[in-house]
Amino acid sequence: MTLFGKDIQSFSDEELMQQLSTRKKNAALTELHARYAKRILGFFIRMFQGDVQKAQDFTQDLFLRILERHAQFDPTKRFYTWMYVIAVNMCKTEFRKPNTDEFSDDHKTISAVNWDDISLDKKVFHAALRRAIEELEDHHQLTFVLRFMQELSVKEIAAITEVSEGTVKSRLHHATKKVTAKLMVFNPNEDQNIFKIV
Amino acid sequence: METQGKWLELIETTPYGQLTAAEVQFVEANGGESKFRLDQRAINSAKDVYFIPEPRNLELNEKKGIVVPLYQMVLAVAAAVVISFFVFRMNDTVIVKVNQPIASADTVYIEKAKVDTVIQSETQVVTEYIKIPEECPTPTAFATHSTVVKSQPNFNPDFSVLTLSNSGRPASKDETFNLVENWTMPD
Repeated sequence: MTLFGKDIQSFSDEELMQQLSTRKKNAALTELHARYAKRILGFFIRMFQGDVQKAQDFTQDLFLRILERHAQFDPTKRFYTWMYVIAVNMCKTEFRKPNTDEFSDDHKTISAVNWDDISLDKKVFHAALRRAIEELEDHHQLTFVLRFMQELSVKEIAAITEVSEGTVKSRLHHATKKVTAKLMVFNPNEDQNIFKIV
Repeated sequence: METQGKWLELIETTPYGQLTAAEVQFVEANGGESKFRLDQRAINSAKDVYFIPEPRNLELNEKKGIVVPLYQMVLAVAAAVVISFFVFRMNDTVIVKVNQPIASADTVYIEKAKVDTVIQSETQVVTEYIKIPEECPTPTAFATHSTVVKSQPNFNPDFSVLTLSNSGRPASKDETFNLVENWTMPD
């Protein structure tokens, strides 16, 4: 697809954001969606504990919000960070709502890995790890997801969550500690202790 | 804080087997090899615990005009005409005549005089003194009159008939004063 005689794929994110105020906004937004939708969908799936349907809806909603609020975007800053700020705020708003569907998980489309491809040990480990991440407090879970699942830098996480880099590192340390505390059964030394015959 | 940062950096970047001696020493002092390996396994496996499907296509809310077939428009207009015909025909109009005068004038004029002229008057009193010269009788005439007075005790002399020839003269030059006994001329 071309935009003003130039291949749209050669546009930077920030240039595409500028195009959102022109007649070519749909093409520009579609390109941004093509670049980041999967990554953002992954973020929402991880934040909503595998609820794919909800994550799909939030991903749609996020890109519509980008279109609505494009005038608020500061072109001197990175689009990528700005997009995550909106996504994180959407999650925070969602977490503040009272949990009404606690006992109605049946309708959810829970994301699951293809169990056939991995060994039993990995299956068990992944399930335990997933549960451990889901049990983290919101701010620890958010920091953990952004760093180790979305692979953002500490600096980017600090900008997105509006805290200092030191706070991000501290949260990562505590989150990792809490997660691994629930995975001690997989610690080789702990195995030795468990099966040790006294 | 520094220890936390260093631990995080090591588990994110370096497999246990590639640690330097100093780093191994640091790991042993802060949890040991098994904890290091477990932390590393957790953060490396984290992104694989959820399956991420392909996202849905972007659904933009493009406003499209509603297309109405022509025959439907014609039918709608015809239906509107028929319905309105029956509705207006069924409605009887009631006219009530009221024998009551209605106000003939509906306009009220209000006149309001505004006086914005102030007249100020000032009376100025000018006092002017006018000097009227007196006529003094001549000594001769006065003597004549004196004689008359002597003969008539209740006589009131008529000074108006006197001609005062000395009028306007200073007292020092008036001979009349010389007739007064013990008169001394002032200095």
